[in-house]
Amino acid sequence: MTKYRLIVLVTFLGGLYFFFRFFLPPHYGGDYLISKQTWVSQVLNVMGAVAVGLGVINIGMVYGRRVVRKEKEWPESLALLIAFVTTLVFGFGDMVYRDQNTIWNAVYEDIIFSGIFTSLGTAVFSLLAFYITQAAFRAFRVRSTEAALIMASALLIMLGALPIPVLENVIPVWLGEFRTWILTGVNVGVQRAVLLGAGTAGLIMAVRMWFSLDRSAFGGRGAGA
Amino acid sequence: MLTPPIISASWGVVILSTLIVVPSLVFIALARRKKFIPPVRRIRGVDMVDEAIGRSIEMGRPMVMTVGSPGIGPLLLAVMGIMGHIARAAAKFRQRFFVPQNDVTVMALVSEYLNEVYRDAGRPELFRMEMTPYLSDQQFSYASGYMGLVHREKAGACFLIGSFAAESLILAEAGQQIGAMQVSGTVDYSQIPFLITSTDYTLVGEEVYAAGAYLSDDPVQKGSVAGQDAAKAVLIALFLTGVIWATIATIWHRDETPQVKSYDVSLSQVVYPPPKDEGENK
Repeated sequence: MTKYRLIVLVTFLGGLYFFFRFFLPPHYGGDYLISKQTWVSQVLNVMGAVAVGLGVINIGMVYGRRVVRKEKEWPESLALLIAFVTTLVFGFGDMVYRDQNTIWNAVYEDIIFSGIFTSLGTAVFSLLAFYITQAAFRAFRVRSTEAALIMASALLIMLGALPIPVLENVIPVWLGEFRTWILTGVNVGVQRAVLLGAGTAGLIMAVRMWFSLDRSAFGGRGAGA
Repeated sequence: MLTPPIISASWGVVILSTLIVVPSLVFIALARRKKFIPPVRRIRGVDMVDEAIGRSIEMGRPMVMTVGSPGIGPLLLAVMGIMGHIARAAAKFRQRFFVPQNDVTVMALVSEYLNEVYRDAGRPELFRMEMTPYLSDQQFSYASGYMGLVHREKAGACFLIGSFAAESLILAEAGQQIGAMQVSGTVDYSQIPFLITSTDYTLVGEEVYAAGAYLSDDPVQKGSVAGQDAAKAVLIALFLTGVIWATIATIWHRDETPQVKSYDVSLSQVVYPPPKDEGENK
């Protein structure tokens, strides 16, 4: 059996389970299939876990090659590899000596996770505040009718949501109602339109995946078409 | 009454699913046999993708694409149609192309796909594992890795097409800061405003699927787009019926209840019947 045929077969069988699990009436086997969902999820998790090795290989090859050949920015790659190996070693140590007060737990949980990883993640997340300001500045430059409409509605929505008690008597009541109408009326309508289009397209694409009608994406002929 | 959770399909769902899926399968079958290949209108997003590719190649700067975190599913497949188009141009003009990864299963699929594209383009030697570097599966670690890549490589064009969360603006601003031309696309409506304000063009919702179909030049995908239109016609007819039904019901029962909720309309209950035990409790 070729690699392509095997992929097509596994995809079809996987799709068949989920199709019958949803469409079969409970008394005609539907309940049985629902009861097997945990087992199916475990199979999918195991397959995902196998793929984790691919990520490790990719990191080793891409950044390891850079260090060995001393290519451009190799010290950064070396730092990444050292961080990767250190986290891996102490992560395993933490797992082995779980709930014990050893050096493994202290280094992994206090230094690597809480001290470095969480702090760096928070720092990157905090960039959002500055980027939102930059993006808002660009969005609020009125260069067309559409931009003017966005600007006006954004201004009214922001004024309607101002949490400043002093301005409560200054801002008219209708502004709050207008804000609610924009958010729950106009906005929700647009969101549902996007969901309708994307949901329909996604469903049909899923059927194509199930029957492997897109050969290119599964390694069959036609990837270059 | 609240809509009940959907555990297994009712007859209404079976009928509705059939009405949505069957027309698409018919159009796909006709297109595969070349009996009827529906024309797909060239949307502006497609022009912008080509413009970004051209600009990047003229400047001699690499192209970077991120698919966000769609997992292996229909959206990834649609985005891969666009990715293939960019990769073919990159192979043809010997331009560097990066697709940084945050999901190992997606990485395996994308790497294999790009390998195929480069082989079909007659340039298998240009495909390297460095094209799909694995950054991290953590949202903001991935975002910072992407920023670093875009800044270091001085990307000429960035494509942010797929599924994004709070990191969308960080990714989009990275390209904006180095003056790269950016084309984005997503089905996540909460991220659409951020992408619109930070990138040069945004493919909204189903445009992502349509652009993939147009660029791939695959009759199956074109038939699928025509099928989607037929499915949407079915859904719009259902919505209109529901709206008229709810309006009439509101007028009819105006003395009993001020407003009829969507699930109070019996048409909704045909699609999603109330659970049996709930009815018994009443």
